[in-house]
Amino acid sequence: MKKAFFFSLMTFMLLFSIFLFSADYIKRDKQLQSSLADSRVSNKIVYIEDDISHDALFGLTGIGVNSIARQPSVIVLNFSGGSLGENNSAKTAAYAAFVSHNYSVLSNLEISLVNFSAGFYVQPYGSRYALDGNRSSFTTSDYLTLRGLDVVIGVPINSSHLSYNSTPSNGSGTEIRVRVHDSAGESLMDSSVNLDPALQNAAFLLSFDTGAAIELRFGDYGGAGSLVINATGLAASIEEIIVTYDYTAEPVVAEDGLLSIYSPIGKLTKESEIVLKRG
Amino acid sequence: MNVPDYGFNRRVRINKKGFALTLDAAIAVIIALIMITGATFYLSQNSHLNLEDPQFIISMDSLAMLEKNGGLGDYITSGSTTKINGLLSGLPYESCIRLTFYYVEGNGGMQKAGSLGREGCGYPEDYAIARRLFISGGSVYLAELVGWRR
Repeated sequence: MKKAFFFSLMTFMLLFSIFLFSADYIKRDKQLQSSLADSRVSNKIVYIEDDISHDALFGLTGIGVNSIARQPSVIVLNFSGGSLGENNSAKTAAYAAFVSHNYSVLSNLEISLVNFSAGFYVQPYGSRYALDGNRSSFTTSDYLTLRGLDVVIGVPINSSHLSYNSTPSNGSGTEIRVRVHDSAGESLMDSSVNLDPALQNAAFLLSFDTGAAIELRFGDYGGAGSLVINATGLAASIEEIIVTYDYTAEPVVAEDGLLSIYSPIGKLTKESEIVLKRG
Repeated sequence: MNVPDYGFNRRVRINKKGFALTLDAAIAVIIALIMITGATFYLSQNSHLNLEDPQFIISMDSLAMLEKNGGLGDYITSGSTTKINGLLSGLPYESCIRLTFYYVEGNGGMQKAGSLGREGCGYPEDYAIARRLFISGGSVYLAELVGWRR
């Protein structure tokens, strides 16, 4: 009797072990399936993030950060500033709206693109570049870190139409260099002066006999250390702005807008700044 | 007075033992059936291991590559299909794609701006779709790539 009971118990335990093994097998399989599903959603989110942030600002407005270079005692930011005379804010707003609505639906994701504008921020200096219509500006909240600005502007007009130009007198402070050339590449202005960032300094000015004009001011215009460029009657291209800052050991980042992507499948969310360049 | 036994009590003992053995065997068989049925049930729940859909990955990667090497922009600006054909020729024989371009209007509407694909592929029954936004000449376009296996 004892032998039979022992035999039954052993059989039961063997069968129970098969049962446990199969239950564990299916549990692990489900975990693997879940991980694969999350992985697939993650890949899609990263793909969409790359899609939206890749060169959108440059393609729409011509604004692009070329480099953030670390030199022994300074940080040098180099960017192209886009073209004046275009409704850039409408372009970026339409793009953000399309991404947040139509593209979200097409992608089966909830995408939100906010604060995406024709411009960018530079941290940790608190700088902001903005381009809209006939005006562009570069402001820096921590303006004492600003050592120099070098602006290159192209105008679609022949140099023979230049009727007047003026440059502010040299002082002390931030070094400002302004270079303007015509459609043939001929120089119309190449001036370099030092200006006090806390004063309302006189403008760099070029006037043409067509009535067109371009004006560049540096100083306390909407905040100390501001650079403001205004164009009248011509579509000037801000080809390059080179900003020299005091050195910082902190990472320097140029960014524009916040992208948030949520996948209802897997309930995954990814939020990230649209980073144009790191240095 | 002694009554002859004729082996009757012994037969009763033997029958009782047989009954117990039969009952034990029956219980063992029932338990075994329950366990095996349970194990079979669990194992039958094991779905096919659904790894990444390669067609979807190929579609996404193809679009990303074509945007970054300028192939999508070239098609819009000049109608050039050199880079797109370069991609098509590098795909496995079984992979079929159809690429459609849409111009995105300011109000969010879309207008078809062109379409091309691999020849000899017929029409897909089971396919993967990847999309990508790109900008050409200051305008926004959407590229839609449908990929399938023939």
